[in-house]
Amino acid sequence: MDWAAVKIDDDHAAALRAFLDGDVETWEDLYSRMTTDEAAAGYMSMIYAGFVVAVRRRFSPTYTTPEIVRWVADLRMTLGDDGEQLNPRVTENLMRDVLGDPDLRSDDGIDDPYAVIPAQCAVLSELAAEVVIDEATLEEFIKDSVDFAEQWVSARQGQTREAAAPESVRRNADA
Amino acid sequence: MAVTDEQVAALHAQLAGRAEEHKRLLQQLDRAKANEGYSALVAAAFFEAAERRFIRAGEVADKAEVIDFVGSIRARAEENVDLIDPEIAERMILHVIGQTSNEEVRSFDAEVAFKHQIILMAALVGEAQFSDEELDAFIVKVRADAEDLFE
Repeated sequence: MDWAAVKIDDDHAAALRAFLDGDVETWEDLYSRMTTDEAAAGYMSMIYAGFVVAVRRRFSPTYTTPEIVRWVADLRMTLGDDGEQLNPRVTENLMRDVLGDPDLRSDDGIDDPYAVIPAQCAVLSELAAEVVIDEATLEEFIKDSVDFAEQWVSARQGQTREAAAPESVRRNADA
Repeated sequence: MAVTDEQVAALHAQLAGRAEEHKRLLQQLDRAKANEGYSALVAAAFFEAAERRFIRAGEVADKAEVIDFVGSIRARAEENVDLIDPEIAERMILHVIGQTSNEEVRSFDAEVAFKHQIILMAALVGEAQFSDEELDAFIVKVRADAEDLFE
């Protein structure tokens, strides 16, 4: 997986729009074009960005942890059988992580893609219905998500370059 | 007999909300005996309280009601929300009402399961708002159930 080759483009923005619109046909068409790890990483970065923007918009800065706990419980009750694969603690911790909760002690599972991806998708889908109320808020939401995804990918690319740099270069950079 | 009067008194004090007395009585318990008797009492109390709360007139609650209950007690716990793992708590309750397998519950670490039983038992009994007489009857019932575990 080459992070340097990951780029957020119009297809990723269109995929987020299709996801938010529940437009399965467009989503599947775009998804079928994502044949490389890099294209898929761009898509997942976009979903993560949408998740972050939605959580911050809905809960920041006045949220409380009990409010997050109650919201996730309500979401799972609403989803019924469809929420079976949603791990409540992972879902809460992902949201608390985004909100910078200083009391977050356990980060169990937030690196497990099998728990993280369904949680991000479910939360994004539910919250978008609350924070996106018309075409204007949809456009703004997608723009903010694209901006965040680009920053996030850029940060990952910086980390990858740093990790790959020879020791002598890192020493010189630190000096 | 594995359940002692002292263990029953400690549980009674806890469920009646007499925290200081509960703490004092708990500290006085013989540790080795308490590992068996007191644990069995807590398990029986949790089981009885969960059955009463989630099976009413033969009608078994659905999973949404269990999620709602666990979410409510965690949300009330303020800074202690992380004390309860919602998946463990829900599965333990679902096990009591026959909605999940024994294997799922047996896979939990014994100490973690005991901690969850204590918290859930206290929450369930608190919510039931027993009168003194009802609490006395509840204690008699769970003592008998706990003693049955050793026969």
